[in-house]
Amino acid sequence: MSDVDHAQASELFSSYWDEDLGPDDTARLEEHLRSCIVCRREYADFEKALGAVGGLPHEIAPPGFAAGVVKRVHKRSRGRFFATRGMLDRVPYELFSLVMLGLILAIYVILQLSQPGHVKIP
Amino acid sequence: MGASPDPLGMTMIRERLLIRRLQQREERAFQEVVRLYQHKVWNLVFRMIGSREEAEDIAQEVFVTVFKSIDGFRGDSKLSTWLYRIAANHCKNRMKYLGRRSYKTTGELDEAAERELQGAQPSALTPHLDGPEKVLEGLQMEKLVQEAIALLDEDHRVLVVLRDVEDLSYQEITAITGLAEGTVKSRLHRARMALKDYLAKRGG
Ligand SMILES: [Zn+2]
Repeated sequence: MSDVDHAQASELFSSYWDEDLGPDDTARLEEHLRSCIVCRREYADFEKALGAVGGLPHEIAPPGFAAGVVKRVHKRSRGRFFATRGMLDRVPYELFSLVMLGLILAIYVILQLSQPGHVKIP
Repeated sequence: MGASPDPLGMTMIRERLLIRRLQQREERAFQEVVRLYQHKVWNLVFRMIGSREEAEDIAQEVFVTVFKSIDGFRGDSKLSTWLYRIAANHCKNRMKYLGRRSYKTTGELDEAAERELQGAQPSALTPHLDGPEKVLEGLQMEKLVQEAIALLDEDHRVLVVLRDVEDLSYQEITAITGLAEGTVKSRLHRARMALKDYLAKRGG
């Protein structure tokens, strides 16, 4: 590339940066960059700009974002979006309430039986 | 969104199971998807839009769309590609809606500056961390970069964010945007040159 090929050289900047340029074009561009201060400065600016873009910190979602999404879906679907829980999901809670009920009943019966003067049911 | 060696295709199997659970409207699968992808979606949206307030609304809408449209997802692309496509489309639509007004990035980055000066993790734009001046310098550069990105129109901006911020491959970008690789490359080149010109003028 001669000095009149600045435009042609800058057209190759992206592919060069991406390491996506064939060996011939790479050699031609590198040769031009060595001999042309204008394009060398341009490429230095290009490198600096893309380095800065790539160096942007990775932003993370704010706390409570995930909960907010779930809430929004519930609200938007008026609570109908998610499938009704299957029996398997409910069993532990229902089993727990059954056990608790049984326990309360047992305590009640024991207390009744242990009271003096209770009437024995034949 | 990040490729790692997976000779048995376990990632794909896990993803298919997750998609099936989503299609069955399983709330826990939904939560898992949000947990897995929230930060990636957030970063893409925030860098596209430049405002936390707008980004939060858009990023939430992205997930709402995912769950509304999961039945239509045929699995011919990765879940992440599909998510990025939805996110990019939401951003582009919002940008059109907002009429390309100048986003309030300045205030946002001033807040960020304050946080960093109060001891939060510095960014990669503050490579030589030897004092608050350097932190501020890095943050000023971040602000400039975000301003430069905000000057691009939506079609160019999305390519810069996908390629140069998110570091995705051209293959992934063509899958997300539906554009031919040549179009992606030529548009991206123009966008990069515009960024270079802006930052060279402003950044010195
Ligand atoms: Zn030249």
